[in-house]
Amino acid sequence: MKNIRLLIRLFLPFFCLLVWTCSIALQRNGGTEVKLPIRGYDPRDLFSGHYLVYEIDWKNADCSQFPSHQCPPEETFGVKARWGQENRFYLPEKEALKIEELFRQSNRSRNFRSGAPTLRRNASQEKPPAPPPPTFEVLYSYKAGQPPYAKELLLDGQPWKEYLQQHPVPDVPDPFHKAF
Amino acid sequence: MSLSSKTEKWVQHHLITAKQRKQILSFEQKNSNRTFWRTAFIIAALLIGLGICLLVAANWAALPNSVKLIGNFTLLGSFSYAVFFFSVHKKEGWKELFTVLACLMVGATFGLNGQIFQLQGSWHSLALAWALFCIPFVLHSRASFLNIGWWLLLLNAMPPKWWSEIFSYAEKNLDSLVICTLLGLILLHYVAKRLDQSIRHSVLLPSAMGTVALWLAYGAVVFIGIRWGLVHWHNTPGKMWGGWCVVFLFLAVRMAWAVYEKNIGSFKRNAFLVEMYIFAIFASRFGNLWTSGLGFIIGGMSILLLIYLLKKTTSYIKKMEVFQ
Repeated sequence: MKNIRLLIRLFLPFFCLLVWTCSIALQRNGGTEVKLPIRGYDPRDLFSGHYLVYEIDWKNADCSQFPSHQCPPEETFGVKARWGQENRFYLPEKEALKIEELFRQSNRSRNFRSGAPTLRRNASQEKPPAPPPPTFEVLYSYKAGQPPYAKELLLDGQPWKEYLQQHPVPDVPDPFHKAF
Repeated sequence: MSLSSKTEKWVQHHLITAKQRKQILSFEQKNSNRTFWRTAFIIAALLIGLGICLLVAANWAALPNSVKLIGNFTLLGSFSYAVFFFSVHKKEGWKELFTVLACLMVGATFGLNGQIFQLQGSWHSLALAWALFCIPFVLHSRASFLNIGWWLLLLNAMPPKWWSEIFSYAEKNLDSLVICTLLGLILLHYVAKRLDQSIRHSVLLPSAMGTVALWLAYGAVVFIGIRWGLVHWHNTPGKMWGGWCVVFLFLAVRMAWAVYEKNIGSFKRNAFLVEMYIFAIFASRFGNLWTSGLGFIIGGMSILLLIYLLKKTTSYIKKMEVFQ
């Protein structure tokens, strides 16, 4: 009897974690899928090699996707930070730097399109134009009254893995290793 | 002096017999071996557990999420069962190894779920959840390392904003609230030790809490001693005296307590801290290059004096009647 009690006590975390994992999986699969455009806020994040930190671009979001045809309050998504609502998308270590580089380019290109002045080179110095960086969106599972779950990172409307297969990106040197 | 040579001397002086010497040596050998193996097991568990956490953090794209989850729960279940198995078979070293592994695996599970389901959360909420889910393992463990680690993890559950508020308050104010917090920590240490004695060391959590409370109290005293007693003395001379009083009173109480408990090691450590602080007060008085130059010379001489004083203090403490 004493041994059974000990066994139950030791397996308590296991069962609690299992129930929690299953409940998250169920919640995640039960929501409405909404696609939201994202933008970066701080490219100097120390952990950027492992997850992408972003803000939701509510100005360009299509609110008709939500069940109530209205965008929910911004605080519903992510964690409150000094600069706004911080959201994260975890990426595999090997691909994180490539995605982050593309994300940076996408943000830069957005700034450029917004009218920031640039210097023009001579025709002889001009390189062939690089393909435009992809647009970034996150596919969420949303249900009112529950936390939203990010399901997929979309680059030009495609899941990031498929995008990288079709548009190979050269390896990006790890700034952390470079620094040491 | 090693125990072997010590006991040899005791035999020569007819304090113990040769047979008793043999018994003492074999007992100590057994005990020290046990400590060594237990430490080795814990270090091995830490390395393996941290390795698993890092593999989870690398977030392999090659493995599907379901495989990752099944693998994770299989490992957690196996470690939990191993703790049970080795507890029943009374294999202490292996039990501690799998307890540490199971605790780290709980953290790894939170991390993996965070990655797979893209959960948004902060470190302090993870620390709180991790600490709560580890309670069954920590209560079952006999390793003080794990118990102290658990309290430190629980301290991490406090939002960083609170920590910064506490620090900025203690930086600006040296008032009754700060002193009461310090006294509260000492009281917590005392209560935890008493509780540990009353439950006869059956669970290590209270004792570990006492240790952590004492570390925090020392940390607070060092902070007050440096901030108010050494660094900003010219702005607020009143608080400088306050800082000195806090440091010397705290160390005096600790020394008095060591005398009461006949703990010569604690008494020596606190006496050493008193002397170091007196030296730091003198060292912090020097300002410009001229006085700094003089200060460094005097400082060098003071170190020599400090070594002399320490040697004298140590031999004096050893001779003190209370420790005989």
